[in-house]
Amino acid sequence: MDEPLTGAVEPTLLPRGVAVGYSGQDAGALWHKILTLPGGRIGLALGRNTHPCDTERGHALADVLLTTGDPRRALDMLATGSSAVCAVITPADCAMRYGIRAGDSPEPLIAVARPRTAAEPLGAPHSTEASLRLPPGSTLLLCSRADGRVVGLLGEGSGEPPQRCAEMLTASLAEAEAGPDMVALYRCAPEPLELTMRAEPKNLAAVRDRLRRWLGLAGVDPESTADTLLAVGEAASNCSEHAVAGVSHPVEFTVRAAIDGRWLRCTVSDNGHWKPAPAPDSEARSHRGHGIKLIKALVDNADVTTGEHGTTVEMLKELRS
Amino acid sequence: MTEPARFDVTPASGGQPPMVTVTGDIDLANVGEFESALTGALDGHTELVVNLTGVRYCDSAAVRTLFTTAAATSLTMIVRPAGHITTLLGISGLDRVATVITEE
Repeated sequence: MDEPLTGAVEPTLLPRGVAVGYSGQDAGALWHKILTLPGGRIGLALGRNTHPCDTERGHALADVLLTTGDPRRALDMLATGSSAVCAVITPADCAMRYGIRAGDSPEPLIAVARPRTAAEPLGAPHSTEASLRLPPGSTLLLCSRADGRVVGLLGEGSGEPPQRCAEMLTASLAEAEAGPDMVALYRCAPEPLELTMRAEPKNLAAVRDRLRRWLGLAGVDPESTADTLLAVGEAASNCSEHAVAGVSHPVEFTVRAAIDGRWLRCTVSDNGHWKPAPAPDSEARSHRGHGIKLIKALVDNADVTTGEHGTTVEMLKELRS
Repeated sequence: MTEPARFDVTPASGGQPPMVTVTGDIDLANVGEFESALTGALDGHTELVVNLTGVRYCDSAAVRTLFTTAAATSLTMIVRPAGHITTLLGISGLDRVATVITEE
């Protein structure tokens, strides 16, 4: 008995937060579009190829999405009887508009999992203009088949990185063996991360673990994740190393991370007092300079501000879109 | 949860220098252990090989230790071609005072 086939679109090519997966043997049975629209909006659409002209109609759909950003007008480009779903998301506030076309073949599905709430399917939108605002960390699902198990799994998958969530759903669809299917997901940027810990070397691994998990949930690509972990790790390491013993308060550092559209902003700040700057030309001075140089090689912009109450390193990194 | 890093020492034999193979993360918390492994492996030899292909994370803390080692002996590092270690070696200049070999 053959293992049911599942597959994914190469994750490194997708905008942050988007994941796609398919199941079943017939990859040509379904189409999908993933577009970055003007203003940084994300357009997602998928459907079943039931008519010979569906490929051309799919291009027309993409054109309408690019020029109008209107999912329902885009779906009007498809032949009668074609089933499809389409959504447009504005990442900055996770507002989204969508449309559903039921068609002749299995009804498609659009569903949402908000954090700490059971996932639910969305019915046909009441009005053309209606848009939903999804809370941070929500997961939006487009699926070629309205399947109750998939909605349930979406709730579980909302605590996993988007790619992993897509895999869970396609595995379930493959098991059902109802035919080729696919899913497209969008994960809204999570609530910002903030952690404060004693500035001690033993806490550095915990910072990386928490940040790695947060970046994973947000669907940040592996390369940007590695860059960020190293930049933040380097800044946090500096805090742990240079905080002076004998200061009356325990020295702590705070790590913050937030996603704002295409930008990932991380800050590491401490409340300690830095050791006096090492003498110029000293080994210590050149090593500290390497730390900042390293951070600047990993992110798009880095600023260090030192005051009498502590030091803050702010790092800004542009993510793929 | 991050697993503890491993620093495995292969003693010198048959003309091959001693080698330290690192698996996992090196940061400020365990850089002392890293340093001890390097010093212990070196043990009077004039050459040392450090295999970093199994390293998931390392930052300037490890680089500073490697600089000290490179000053004391003839150091060769084996690293993966992609990834941050190459960036680290370039920015710090460690690649100018040690031999770097890339291996998957």
